[in-house]
Amino acid sequence: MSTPPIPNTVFIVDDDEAVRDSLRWLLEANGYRVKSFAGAEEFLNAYESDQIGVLIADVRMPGMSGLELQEELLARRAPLPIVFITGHGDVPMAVSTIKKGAVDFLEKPFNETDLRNIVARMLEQANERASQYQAQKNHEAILSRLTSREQQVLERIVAGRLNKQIAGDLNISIKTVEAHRANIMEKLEVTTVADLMKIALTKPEGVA
Amino acid sequence: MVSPVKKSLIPTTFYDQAKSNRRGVYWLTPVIVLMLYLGVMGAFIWLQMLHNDSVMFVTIDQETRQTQLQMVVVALSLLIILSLLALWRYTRFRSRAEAALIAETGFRRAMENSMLTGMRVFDMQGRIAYVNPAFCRMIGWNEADLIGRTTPFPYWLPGRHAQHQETLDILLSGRTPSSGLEVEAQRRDGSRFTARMYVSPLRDANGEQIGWMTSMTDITEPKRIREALTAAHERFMTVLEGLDDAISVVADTPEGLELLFANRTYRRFFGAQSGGHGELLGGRLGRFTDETVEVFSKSAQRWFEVHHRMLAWTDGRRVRLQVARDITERRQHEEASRIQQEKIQLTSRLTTMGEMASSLAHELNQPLTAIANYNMAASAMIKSGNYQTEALLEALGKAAKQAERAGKIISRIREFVKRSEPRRQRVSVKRILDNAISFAEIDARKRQVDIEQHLPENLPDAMADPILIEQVLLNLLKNGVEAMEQSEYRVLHVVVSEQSSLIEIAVIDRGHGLKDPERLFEPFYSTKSEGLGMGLNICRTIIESHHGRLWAAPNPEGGTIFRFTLPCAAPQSPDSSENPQELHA
Repeated sequence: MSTPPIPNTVFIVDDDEAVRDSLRWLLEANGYRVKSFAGAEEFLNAYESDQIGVLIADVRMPGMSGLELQEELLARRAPLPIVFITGHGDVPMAVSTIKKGAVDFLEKPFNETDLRNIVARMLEQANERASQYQAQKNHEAILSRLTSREQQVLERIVAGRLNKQIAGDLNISIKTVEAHRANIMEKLEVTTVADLMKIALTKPEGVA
Repeated sequence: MVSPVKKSLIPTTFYDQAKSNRRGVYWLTPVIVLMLYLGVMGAFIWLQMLHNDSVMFVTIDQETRQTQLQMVVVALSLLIILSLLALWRYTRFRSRAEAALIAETGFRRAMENSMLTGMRVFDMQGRIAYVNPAFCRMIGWNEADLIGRTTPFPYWLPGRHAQHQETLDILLSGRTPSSGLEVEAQRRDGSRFTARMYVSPLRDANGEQIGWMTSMTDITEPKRIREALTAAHERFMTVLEGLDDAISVVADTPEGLELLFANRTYRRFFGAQSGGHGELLGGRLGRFTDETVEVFSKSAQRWFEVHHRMLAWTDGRRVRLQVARDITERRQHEEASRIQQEKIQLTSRLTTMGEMASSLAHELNQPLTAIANYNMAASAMIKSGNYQTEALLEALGKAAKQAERAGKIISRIREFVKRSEPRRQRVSVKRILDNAISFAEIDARKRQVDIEQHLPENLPDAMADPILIEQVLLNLLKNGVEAMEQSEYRVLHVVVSEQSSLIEIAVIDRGHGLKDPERLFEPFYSTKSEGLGMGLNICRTIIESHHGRLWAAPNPEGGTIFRFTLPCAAPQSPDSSENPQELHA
């Protein structure tokens, strides 16, 4: 068995001790780091939102259910893909969870290959999401360096307006627009307008 | 005989003679004659003396003549006296004979009057010469109406004169059988009677037959009694023979059972032998109680309800009476209805399981998932080549435990739905409660309802069929959980309490409540859209068959309370304390 490239954590939340424990054994035997919890509340107490990993949770649990846990994690903006364990296909529930961003389902009893694939994919996704999150964070930090006038200018550059038009819009001279433009290029560490466009356009996708 | 009716045959003369009592003066006639004679003699002697006085002298011849005359007179006198004596003696003899005759006649008459036998004499012409009072009483006609009558007699039945004439002819010809004749006659008032008549010839003093003496006894009453007895016996036999119960009486003899009586039903089943009786005794020879036992007869291939009793037979022997009723059909009906009931209960249990199927599947999926996981973990460890035997064994051990868990769930379901003979037994209420709650909890978890049980300490065991009570309890728990699905308060309470010889179990929910809880027990009434409406009805039948009660009442705090009672088992003896476990295992 090849160990996964990134030693990330698999979080298990299930009220059934046997299922929880056996899943832990299975994942550990496959080389994952596993943390298991008997309930959603217990998990939320222990989880720190920057931890990267994948959450495998039972949908039906006493106390806080899997769906409620999903909502709570969304609210915390935790970059944690969720795999729900279900006993049997429940379409309305599945639709609702997928809409809220759950990535997959595991049906009991599990198929080892499926489980491994899903966990691997999810972890990949988690890492991707984490790095994306990181990039977005950087991006936002860079953008925040611009003054409000520079941001107004940037918006209009992205919208494809010419310097002359921007000057007209903002009631400033073309010269001033050109100065702002140079400042923006410098602050965002880009040399071409194409690069500038790329950075500016990734912005709205950042929030998942 | 040509002579008319003989006076001597008419009893009145004897009767009158007997009435004039002159027996005491039979000596009067000789005495009067003697007195007259003495008077004559006295007169004669007195005249003689007068003559002697007047005649001074008499001749010798005269004197001799006179002496001769005197001699003759004396001789005659003596003769007369002797004759008188003889007459007196004769009269006395006659008188005594007469008295004896009168006494005899009186005795005979009294006898004749006192007896109920009607006496009648026909003369040789067939006329009635004599009837006694009993005969008159018997037929209601007076003596005067009958004496001298010829045929047809007034007591003959109208329209049957020929028959009567024939009887009379037999009688007069002397061919009457010694056993008598049975004759019918009509009374003056028109009522009829039957009499037995005996005939004997009547002879006069010379031994010559002068008529026929007949004696008649009214046998209407004895005949009626005999007929009534016969009829009563026949009725009795008809009833006995007509009974559907097989009745038999046997006596114990050294050779075995002797059949003394058997009615038709018995003979139909077993023939006229004592074998059937012995078979139905079922080996209870000598042990006699008035208990009723149900016995299956192999020879008749039928079930009988048998009563036994000892009787004193008509000959004084102690015998066995057996009344056996054929209950084969009743048993078949009972059996059919019992099977029906069991089927309904089983169906209800299956339905309950069906309703819980998804929950049960989930419950079963848990251990199966765990087993699969442990196995996959173990094989992953082996494949990686980097493993410790202990860890591997631990994983396999855990998998085995989960298999056991799954097996328990399955066996519990099987136990619940299996078709079994109802077994009433001593059973712990806690055990029933635990089983039912562990089922109900599967569903309750899904609906996020908790079930709490409250049991008093030292609760006596109940006398019940655990599966059936589990079925009832599970039904009530499921209803409670479903009712509370939308409630704020989400704990279903099960409270057990002991009330004299009863155990009461209350299932208390805080659900939506019910408008008319009693309606729930009606068949086909359901508050659930998918419900059949039979569940609670069956529950009530089950509880009532346990001599308990099941009822519903509104919960003052909102919701509904279902209660049912079960009888406590009798206090347990120490040595039987293992039994319930054994039975339950």
